[in-house]
Amino acid sequence: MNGNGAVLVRREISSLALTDPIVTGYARGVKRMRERDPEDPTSWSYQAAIHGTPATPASKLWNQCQHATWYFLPWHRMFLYYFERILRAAVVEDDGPADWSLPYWNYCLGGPHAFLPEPFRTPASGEDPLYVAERDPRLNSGKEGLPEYVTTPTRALQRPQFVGKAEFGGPRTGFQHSGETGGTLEMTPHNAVHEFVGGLMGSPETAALDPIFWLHHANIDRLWSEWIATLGANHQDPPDEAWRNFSFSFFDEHGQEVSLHCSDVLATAANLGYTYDTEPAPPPPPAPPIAPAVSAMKPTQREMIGATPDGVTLTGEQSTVSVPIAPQAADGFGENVHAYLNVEEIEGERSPGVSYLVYADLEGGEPPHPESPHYLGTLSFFGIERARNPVGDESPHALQASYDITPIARELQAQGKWAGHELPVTFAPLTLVPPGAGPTSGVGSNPHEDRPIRLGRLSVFYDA
Amino acid sequence: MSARARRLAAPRRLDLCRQATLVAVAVAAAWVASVWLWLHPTAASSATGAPEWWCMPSMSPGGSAANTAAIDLGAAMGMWLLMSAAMALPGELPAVQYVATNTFRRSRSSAVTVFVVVYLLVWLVCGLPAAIVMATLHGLPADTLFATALAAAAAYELTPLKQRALNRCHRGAPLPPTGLRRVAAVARFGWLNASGCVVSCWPAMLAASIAPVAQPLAIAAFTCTMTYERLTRRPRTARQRIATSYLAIAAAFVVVAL
Repeated sequence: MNGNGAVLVRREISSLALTDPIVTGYARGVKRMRERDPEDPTSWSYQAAIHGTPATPASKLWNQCQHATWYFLPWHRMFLYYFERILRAAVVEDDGPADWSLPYWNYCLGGPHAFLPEPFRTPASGEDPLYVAERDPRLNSGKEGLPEYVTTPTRALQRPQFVGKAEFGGPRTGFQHSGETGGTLEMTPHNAVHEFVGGLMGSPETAALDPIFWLHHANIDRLWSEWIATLGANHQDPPDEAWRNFSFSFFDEHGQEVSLHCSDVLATAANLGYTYDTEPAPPPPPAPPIAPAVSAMKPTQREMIGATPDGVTLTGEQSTVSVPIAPQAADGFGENVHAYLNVEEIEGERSPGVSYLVYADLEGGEPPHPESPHYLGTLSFFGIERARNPVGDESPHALQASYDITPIARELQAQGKWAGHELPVTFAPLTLVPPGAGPTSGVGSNPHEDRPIRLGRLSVFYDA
Repeated sequence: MSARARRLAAPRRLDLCRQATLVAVAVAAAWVASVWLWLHPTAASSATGAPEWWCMPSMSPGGSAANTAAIDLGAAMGMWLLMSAAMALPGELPAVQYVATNTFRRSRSSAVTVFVVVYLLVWLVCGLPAAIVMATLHGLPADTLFATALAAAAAYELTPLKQRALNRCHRGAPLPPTGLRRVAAVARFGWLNASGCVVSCWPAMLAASIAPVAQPLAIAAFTCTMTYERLTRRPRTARQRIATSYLAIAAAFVVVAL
């Protein structure tokens, strides 16, 4: 909200000319923030360190970002909100517009939108505040873009629930700087885009130093609003007090410490004074809660119904792993029961900078369309370097990933190929794509033998 | 963040499976037995054949027991095992749950049994050097000895070795679904947890063993600290708090002794 109380509109970066005050203001604001004393909470490096930093000893509010948790979305919304206020103040100091707002990068639109926005690419000459040389050079040059498998939010937006490992917003946790399993939006496109941009963006400890970080997260924030607005009352933020009353602290444009509760950031236009240029109509009022029908076959707890005896090591080539499904899987698959594929104990010294397409390879054929139920999502390793060696006051852990495979399991069950059979799961490395690439493009060898990733086990669970 | 918000945001109470519940019951039984032994030290000594200083409250090397006869190793190990189960197993309930959840339903009980047996075996083996240390320390001034052990435990809390040992307790393990490989993987997981726990907790266990007064309460307090640092989401903060507490209690004992 600007000084007049008007709601500001965050705009898609490619809809803005290079000379648009939003674009030029961002570049000048970044430059101004970089010139500040690093000890100043409104400086560029300090703001980035609030997300994460390898530097020690940590200053106040460093290493606060929330990942693999149901706080992932609200924390980053708050982070962007205060960053936007700081940067707007810097823009105004530089005689820029008082209604400056943070743009977003909507790579979800595909095509030319999946390429790094032009103001961030290799500059013709001189120093450009928005250019970061460490990014993937093919992306930086604008010659290649992100594949649709990485940019599609479809699977995430289809998730019916906010809370859960394979649900939209992530699993219920306490404060969690890094964790095991993120929600579907965090996995794709969030983690995958981080991996593909590479360089500073490839690690949570440095990601916010890259100016594209803020536009990427503005898009993730926009997708949260879109998820809420779609499918009406079925999509809701968590009603839990534990989530709504949890608060996080930041610094505002005056360098003062400020706090917000998760419940404070749900209505962005009313409470935070911003909206998106694609903001959907507000959802209808929520319907009264309906008690779910209880299946007689509902298991009493998470039930493992299949697992691989061995793990698999990924080095940049395609791998197919068959998960044996136990004969007893014929029981307990009631109508309210979901089947999940878990990739467990994911370990590696550091991120390989490669994301994998994960799909159920039922026919042994080509990679599926991103809209196909056989497309499960992507597997990325954003933050893996700190999983076993956390920088903050946290215990180590391994990364995990969960995918809802209920439609595939039901399809196989109907064909009599579920219980007592094997579920083939393929991990295919993804690559950047040239202009004009189709939706199933971007699958190909992407070697990283020097940074192998070990998947400890694949398992299939029933969970109600 | 307010204290209320922090409380609300704590992860949900562990919804224990049947096997983990049984382990929790076994821990409770170990506590009942420990308290009984404390209330009936002479009976316990004659029943188990253990020297009295292995039987609470005279387990303390500085206690008043006069019986310093040769140690009945078997009985002493039994006492040590009881103490290990009471003190160390509560922090392992999530690991027990992990084993049960990541195993087929029909194999859960056997897998959890393998895990617990291996876990306690490691502690049992460590009981031998513990018995030697106890015998060596027997007869020394109790208050001073306890204060020294607490101060050493406090210092140990802040060492990288302690952190590495605790980290080891947080490692998962891919468990093959069937066969001997599953048994071997579960046993290895038990070894990983037990060895990490032994290296992490031995100073606290030693201090608990030589507490000169109200030993069951002391053991309960040490159990709480060991479980807290094992399960907390803030391990560094927990270790700092525990070290501070140990130092404060050690200082109190020194003041009383003077």
